[in-house]
Amino acid sequence: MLSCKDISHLTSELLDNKLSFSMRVKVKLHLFMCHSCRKFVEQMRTTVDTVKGLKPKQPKEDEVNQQVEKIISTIKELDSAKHK
Amino acid sequence: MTNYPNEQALITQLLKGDEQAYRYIVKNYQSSMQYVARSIVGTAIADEIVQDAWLSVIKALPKFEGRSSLKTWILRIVSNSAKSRLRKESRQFAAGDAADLEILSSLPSEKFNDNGSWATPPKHWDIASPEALIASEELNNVVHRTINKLPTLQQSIVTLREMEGLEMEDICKILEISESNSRVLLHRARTKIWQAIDKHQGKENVEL
Repeated sequence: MLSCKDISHLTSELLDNKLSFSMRVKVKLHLFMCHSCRKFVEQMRTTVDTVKGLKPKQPKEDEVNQQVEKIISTIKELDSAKHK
Repeated sequence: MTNYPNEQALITQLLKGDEQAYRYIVKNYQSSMQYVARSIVGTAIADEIVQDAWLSVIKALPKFEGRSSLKTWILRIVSNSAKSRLRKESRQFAAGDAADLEILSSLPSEKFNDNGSWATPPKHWDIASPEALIASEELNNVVHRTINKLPTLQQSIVTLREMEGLEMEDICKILEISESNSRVLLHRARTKIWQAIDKHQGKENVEL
């Protein structure tokens, strides 16, 4: 019989469909009987979906400008070296 | 921001040396490149690695065969630059070490009784949907702050996987960790974010 602690370790595997069939059955059986773990799994699902919904970090405008400038000048250097 | 109908269109522009195309990939890929570099070599020389990687990207782009997405390809270049740098300095890349994964448990043990049942069961969340959590400025900040405070490898995995949508298999190759380690780290990161959200639930109501 799986404990609540076991379920807390297996939550990501459950949410990502990574459990074997027999383990999945054991987890489902526990969840059927345990309100707290059902709540935990639901909140973990919400957590994952929240992170998925966040916008990935983008560099600041200045950083982008500087980087693009560097790249373009490198391309030009490489090009002129090729034509020599 | 210029949008490209498909990756090939973007690559065609990059090969022409088009500034807008480079602006697009810097904006969308640079943060991930930094995460990968930091995960492998640490913060101090991560920027150097990213610069080396850009040079390699420019040089190797004509040979890009499209067997993976452009982003995955670029991140592999970052990873290779970082690893060769470590080899040069004869340092070991320790990210995949089992020592880092000392325990599987990610929730504090006081959350559970000795028999493994909840000592403090999960509480009710007033803000309980992803949409509402993202819309709440306070909780949105909490999640971002928590991710920024995670160990670099967990940070990389959670952002590359959940926010950028890369395949776990590619992430493992880029960061040179095993599938099982990456799954443990992903679970830990998620659990920490859950704890942070949980801690802040109800706070906004109290302040009202």
